[in-house]
Amino acid sequence: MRDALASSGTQIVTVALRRADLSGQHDPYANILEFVDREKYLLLPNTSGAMNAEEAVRLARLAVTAGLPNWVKLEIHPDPRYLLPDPIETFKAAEILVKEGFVVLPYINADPVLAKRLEDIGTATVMPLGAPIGSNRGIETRRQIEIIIEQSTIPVVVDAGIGAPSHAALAMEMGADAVLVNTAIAIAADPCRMAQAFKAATEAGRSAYEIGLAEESFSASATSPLTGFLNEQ
Amino acid sequence: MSFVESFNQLPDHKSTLLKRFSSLIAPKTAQELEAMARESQAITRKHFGRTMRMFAPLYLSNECINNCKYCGFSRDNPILRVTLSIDQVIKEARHLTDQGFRNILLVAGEHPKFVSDGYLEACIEAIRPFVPTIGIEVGPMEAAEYARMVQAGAEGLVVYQETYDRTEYADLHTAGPKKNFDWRLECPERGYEGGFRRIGIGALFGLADWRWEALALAAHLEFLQQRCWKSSFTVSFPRMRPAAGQFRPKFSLTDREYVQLIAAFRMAFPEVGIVLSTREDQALRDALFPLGITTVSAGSHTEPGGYTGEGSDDLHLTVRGKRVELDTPTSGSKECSRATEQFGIADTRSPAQVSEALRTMGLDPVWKDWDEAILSTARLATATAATTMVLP
Repeated sequence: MRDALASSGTQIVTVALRRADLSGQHDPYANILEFVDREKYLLLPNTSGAMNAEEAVRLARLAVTAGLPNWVKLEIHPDPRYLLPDPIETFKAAEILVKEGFVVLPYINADPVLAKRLEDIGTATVMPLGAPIGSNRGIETRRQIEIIIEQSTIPVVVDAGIGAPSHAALAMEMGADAVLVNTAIAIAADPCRMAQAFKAATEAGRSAYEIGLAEESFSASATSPLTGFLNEQ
Repeated sequence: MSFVESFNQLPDHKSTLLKRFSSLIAPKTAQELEAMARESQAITRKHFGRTMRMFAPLYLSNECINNCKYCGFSRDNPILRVTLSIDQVIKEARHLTDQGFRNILLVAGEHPKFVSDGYLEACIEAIRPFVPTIGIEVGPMEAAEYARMVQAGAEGLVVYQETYDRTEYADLHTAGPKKNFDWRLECPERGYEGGFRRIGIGALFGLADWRWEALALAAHLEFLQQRCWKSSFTVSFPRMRPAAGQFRPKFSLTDREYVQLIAAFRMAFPEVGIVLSTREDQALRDALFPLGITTVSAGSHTEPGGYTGEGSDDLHLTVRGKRVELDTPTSGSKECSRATEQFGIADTRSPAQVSEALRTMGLDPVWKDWDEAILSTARLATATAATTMVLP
C-alpha cells in the first residue's frame, strides 16, 4: 500500500475508522493508520459503517479525540449491498459537523440539488459517485455530475465506481477537481504500476480540461461544403 | 409476509435470480467448474478486495434442552457439561483478543435455565469494552429479546436452519423447542427487527440433499436482502463432522460440490459474505480461501472453556437431562477435565499460522472491522468534551 500511495501521487488518503484503533493506544491488529505517512499525506478519516447521522457524527468526534485530523469523509450508507449514500442522514450529519468546525467532505449520490444544499451549509467539497462503490463501472452518472460541476463553487471529487484510468481521465476532463480511487488499484495484479497509470490518466484529464476540449459533434463537418455549387448570393 | 410463505412455494415459484441459481448448482463438467471458480474469485476480489475477516467462536455453555440427532450437545447425550461464569467468559475472550481476534461469536446451547437472556446480556456487556465486534449464535428468541442483545452490545446474529428439508428436520429434531421449523425459519427476520446489522444464515450440509439446501438457502438470502435491506448477510455451508452421539449423515457434499456451492453463491450474491470455519481441514481450507470466502475462523475450540481450561471447576455429567456430579471433577483423567466439544475441529492451526497462510496467498487478514463506538453512546460524553477543546 505504501508503494502504491507513493506512485499514485495522491495527496489525501482516506481510512475507515472502524478498522483503526480509536482508543488512542497501539493495537497491532488494527494498525492501518501506521501504513500512512502523515508527513506526506493528509489523512482523511471516513465514517464508513455508520448508518445514520448520529453514528457518523459520533465517529467523527472520536477520530479527533484519537488525534486524527478534523477532516472527515462523511459516508453514511445504510444499505450494505450497494453502499449507496443516504442523502437525508448525510445532510443532517453535515450540518452538525460543519457547525462543530469539521472540514466535511460528503459522499453523495450524483444529485445536483443535494450538492448545492450541502454547499450552502458549508461543506468543503461534494463527492458524487460515478457508480456504486467497488463496482468499477465508471462514470454512469455522467450527465448529473456535469450539472454538479457546472453549478458548484466548491471542489467536486468523483468518488466511487472509477475502475479504469480512462474513467479517472474522463472525470477530470469533465472538470472534476479530484478523483478518489481504491478498488481498481487495491485489487490490481501490480497495485504500484496501476497507481502510476491512474496518476498519468488523472493528470492527462486535468490538462485536457484546462486546455479545453474541442466540442463534440454528431455529424461530420466537411471542409468543402456540399452545397457550395448553389452559389447563392 | 414472512419467509415461511415464500419458502412453502419452492421449488415451483422461483424468481429470476433463483432460476439462475438453480442452473449454477446443476451438475457441471470439470471445465465448467473451473470457469465458475475463476469467476467466483474475480467477483470476490472486486467486491471485497484482498481482505479476509477473522473471527473466533467462544462457547459459553453446552447445556441444551433440545435433542438433535446430529449434535454433540443434545440433551440426552451423556457428555461433560458446563456453563461458564462471567469471569471465565472474560478470561476466554481475553485469550482470543491476545491472539488478535477483534470479532468474537458467542455460542451456547439452548437452555432457559443456564442460558437465560440475562446471562447472555451479562456476557456481552462484560467483553464489550475490549471486543469491538460481538455476534451471538444461541437459541431462537423473540424480536424484543433480540433487541435487548443489540442494546447490550451485540451487532451480529448467526442462526442456521440446519436443514431446509421439513421431513428430515422433523426426523432429526426429536425433542425440545427446536422442533418448530417455522419458528426457526423466521429467526433472521426477528433478528433484523431486533436491530442486528450482520446476520449469518446457513445449513448444515449432510442432513438433506445438498441442492435443495442450497436452493432454499439462496431463496432465504434473496428474501432477506429485499426485506431486511439495512443488514449485511453472510452464508455458511458447514459440513457434518464427527460428534458425540455417533450420528451418521444420510447425505453428503463432496469437495467438488463444495467448490461449486461457494462459486454459485458468489455468482448469484456478489456482496454476501461467505464464512468458512475450522470444520474443514487445512488443505481444503487453503484451497478454498481464495475462491470466494470472506470470513474465517482459526484455532477454534467448540467446548466451553476450550481456550483456557476455564470452567473445569463446575464440570458435570448429564444423563438423560439430569445433572450427575463427577466424583473428582478436576483430578480425573485428561478427558474428564474439559467439557465435551460440539464437534471435532479439522484445521488445528493457530490463528497466527492461518494468518500467515493467508498472507502467503496474497490475502490480508482483517482483525478489526467495526468499532463499538458506532453504536455506543458511552464514549460520546468524553469524545464531545475533547472535541470542544480541539475545535474552537
